[in-house]
Amino acid sequence: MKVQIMKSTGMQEYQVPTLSPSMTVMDVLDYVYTHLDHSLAYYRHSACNQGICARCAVKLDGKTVLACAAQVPEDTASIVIAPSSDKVVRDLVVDRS
Amino acid sequence: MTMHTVVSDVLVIGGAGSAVMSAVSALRQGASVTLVSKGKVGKSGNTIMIGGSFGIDGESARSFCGEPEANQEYTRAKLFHKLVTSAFQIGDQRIERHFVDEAPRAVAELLGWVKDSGQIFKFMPKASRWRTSGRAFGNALRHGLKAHPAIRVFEDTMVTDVLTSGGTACGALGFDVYSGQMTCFKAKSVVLATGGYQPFSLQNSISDMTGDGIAMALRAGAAAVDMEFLLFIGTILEPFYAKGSLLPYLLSIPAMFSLRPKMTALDGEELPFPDDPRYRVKPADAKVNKLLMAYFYGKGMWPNWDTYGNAFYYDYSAYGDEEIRQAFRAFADSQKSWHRPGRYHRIDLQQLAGDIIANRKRLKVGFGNEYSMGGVVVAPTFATDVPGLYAAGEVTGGMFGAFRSGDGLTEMLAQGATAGKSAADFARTAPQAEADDLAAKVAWLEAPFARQEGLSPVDALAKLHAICDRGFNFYRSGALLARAYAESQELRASLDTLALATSSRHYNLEWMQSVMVRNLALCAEIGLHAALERKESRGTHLREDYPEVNNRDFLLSYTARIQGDALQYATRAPQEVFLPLDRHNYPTVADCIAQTILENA
Repeated sequence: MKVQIMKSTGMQEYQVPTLSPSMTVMDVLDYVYTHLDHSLAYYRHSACNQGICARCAVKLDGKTVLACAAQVPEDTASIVIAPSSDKVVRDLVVDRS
Repeated sequence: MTMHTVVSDVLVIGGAGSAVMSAVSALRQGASVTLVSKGKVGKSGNTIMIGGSFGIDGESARSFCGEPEANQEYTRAKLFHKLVTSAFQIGDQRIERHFVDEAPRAVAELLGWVKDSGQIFKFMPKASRWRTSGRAFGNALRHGLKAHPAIRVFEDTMVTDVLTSGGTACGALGFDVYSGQMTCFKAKSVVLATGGYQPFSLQNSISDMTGDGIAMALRAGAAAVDMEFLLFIGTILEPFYAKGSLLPYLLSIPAMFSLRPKMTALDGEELPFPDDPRYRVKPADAKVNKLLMAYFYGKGMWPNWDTYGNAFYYDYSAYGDEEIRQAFRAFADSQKSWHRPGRYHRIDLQQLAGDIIANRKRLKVGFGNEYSMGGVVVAPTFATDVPGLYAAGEVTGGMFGAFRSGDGLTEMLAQGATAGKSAADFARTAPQAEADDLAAKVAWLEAPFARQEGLSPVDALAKLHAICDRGFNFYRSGALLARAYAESQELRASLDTLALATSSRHYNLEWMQSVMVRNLALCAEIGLHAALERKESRGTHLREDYPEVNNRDFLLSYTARIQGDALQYATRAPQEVFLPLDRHNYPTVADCIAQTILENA
């Protein structure tokens, strides 16, 4: 799957394998951060990953979702992940204060 | 970079129950209070991850919390006895007694916040427990904190070290995770309320359960105890959208889910759980089932551990498709006070039912680590060995010994209330001292930025998880523990070479993880050392090579502290403060549970 991430430095493209038919956006971001790009900033500190804390919002193909709760459809060829607002701290992390 | 400074009498570190109760309690004593949380208060910490309920004894539920129907047979004495025996006797009886004595008042205070903030908590009289959700609990805590606006709050701020002056705690160093701005939080006393440690890849806890408070206390000169005891609970492995959920535990409770699965290994072989009345639990003791499940299913999984590892199936093949769908509909209905229709947190329960049916009616589960019994050594005032440094909640050791069958939520409220008061009392006569180790702590924190190349914290964390997955899991052997201990020592030594992919200080996750992996590796190494030394089984420490609960030789706790640059280990024996100690051995953990916990329940 082609994954395009709107980083602070511009759009970056990654190739991510389908690890499961029911991957979440957070699974995709975790894969990119862990295996491809340790510099990626996405909301991952004190995170519940269960849709409880509701702090990991991003835009998936233009629609705001919680990364931990939004599933990537099984046959998706490419996705675009962008910050959820214009108040970008770095990459996908935004100021929500 | 310039250093900001914040000054107060009492500094509380943490973002959930222990921290909020500590801060409110210290404020009530007249102290100026600052609370610093790694995440958002009430939206971070393990508190929000709870499966669904917490309780106190029935007598106190009626007299302190206004629950007239509370089960009066579940007495204070029975609760105390359960705490002592569930700890497999190595808990500190003074702290267990504190839990019984002080929890009712603290729970009553929380219930006031629940009422004021409109959260839903439902009392179950027979078990003397309140059902709720992690989100509702967190919202109530957040309300409690906001009701005390004099408490100064710093959120999304990661504290990296306790600061000391002549060996006395005098504040802490931290940084704002968004800007990277460092702050010196000066205080006359400090309360650690930062939770436990979880060194495995399967996560059912909050993402950063990295033993930060335990490691900070050790570096400041305090001791840790019982670090080999980690509590495991059924956790979803697949499907991925449900991974990490504690749902399997709830599905194992007959009152919550109507279907009884057969548990099988991945090859289909049934994992037996004896149909023996000795292992039947009453509602107030339902959590004992967590340990019985780990014991019996672990025993069945162990022969194929090298092949299948920590994975098994909840097999619903005895039921029809519609029965399975209907059972999940009924479960969703029972959860509608706290979750969106048809859901349990992020999980669409009908999607899950459909995926179970499609997977030959099996749900893939592993045992995930939800709580660490060990932690910082504290006195009944919740003072550590370091003057001015206090600790409360899961970060402490001594309360639950080898196994927690009581409630972590109740623990944190009771201990937080006392720790906050003790810290405020200390602050009343303590000076506002200048730290003599600030420069060294800043250098330690910034060191990974200075290296051009080295080990990434991301890779270090993955290595640590792999080491602990293999050798420090819920079922253990001497050979695997020995290997994991050696590997953990080697890994911790390599952390002096950590380097980062980007020099940006704005939300640098790798930088945060450089701190967390150093904390977690320290905790894991201490836990592995104790697990290797403890050549018996006790509580959640289940050894296939030493199945006996050996009270004659191992009725003791392992402690650790840092002296110079090295870890120093010692043992301590439990004291017969209120209840006499049983010196008999038991053939297995299950026998010990049946004869000492359940027989007297």
